[in-house]
Amino acid sequence: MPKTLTILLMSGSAENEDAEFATRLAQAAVKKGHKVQMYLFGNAVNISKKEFPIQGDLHIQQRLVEHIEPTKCFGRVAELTKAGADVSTCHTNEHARGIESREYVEGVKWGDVGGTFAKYLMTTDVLLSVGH
Amino acid sequence: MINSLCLIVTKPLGAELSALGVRAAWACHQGGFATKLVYAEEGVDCLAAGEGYQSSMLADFIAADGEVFAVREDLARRGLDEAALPQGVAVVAAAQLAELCEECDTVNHF
Repeated sequence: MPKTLTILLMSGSAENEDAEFATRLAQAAVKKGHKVQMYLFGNAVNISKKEFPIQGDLHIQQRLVEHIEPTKCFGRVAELTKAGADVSTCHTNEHARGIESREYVEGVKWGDVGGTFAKYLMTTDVLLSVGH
Repeated sequence: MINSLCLIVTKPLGAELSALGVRAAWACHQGGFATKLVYAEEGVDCLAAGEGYQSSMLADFIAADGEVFAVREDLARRGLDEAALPQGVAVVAAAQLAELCEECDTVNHF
């Protein structure tokens, strides 16, 4: 029987592997027919925004670029929302990072902990917090 | 639906996650969920903040009948005086943490 999983993600994609784990877990749950709600809290709001790549030379060693690029989660977040996952952010944490006005990854929604997150709790079977 | 939460804060005062812990606790409590906020390990430092966002949120949470706990061993390890904690914070032994968790539908760590 399908269940609803809510993931409270509190890490971005650069500092550790939490975001990769959470987004891949969400993909697996959606694939199995479960409903997924993901609330991006704290530094996780960084994966809610579209990437703004610089033009020209990165001035980063190629091996470091190859290390960094696979850790980015923007594409996977868009795939998740396209597959039906409900992904929203904490706009206050966006504000704290000066990114609130930037464009969201496709399907990601503006949110707040008192409203969006509380609503997730009302409709979920499981709550999993991921972050450290 | 989840009806009750235990939010455990182990990050110190300067870490964003500790602020997110009390913020989430407040939101859950205001949303009608039975919410226990537990300070353990370095998180007990948040209880000695004196003033600022976290202490004011904590005061509001307690004033609204939110349940707040601090782990005795972690306070002692850091030389924090139980008597100096904000009024309304219950001090519990580390061994009691499991019971607090068992009483809730979900346990989350900040």
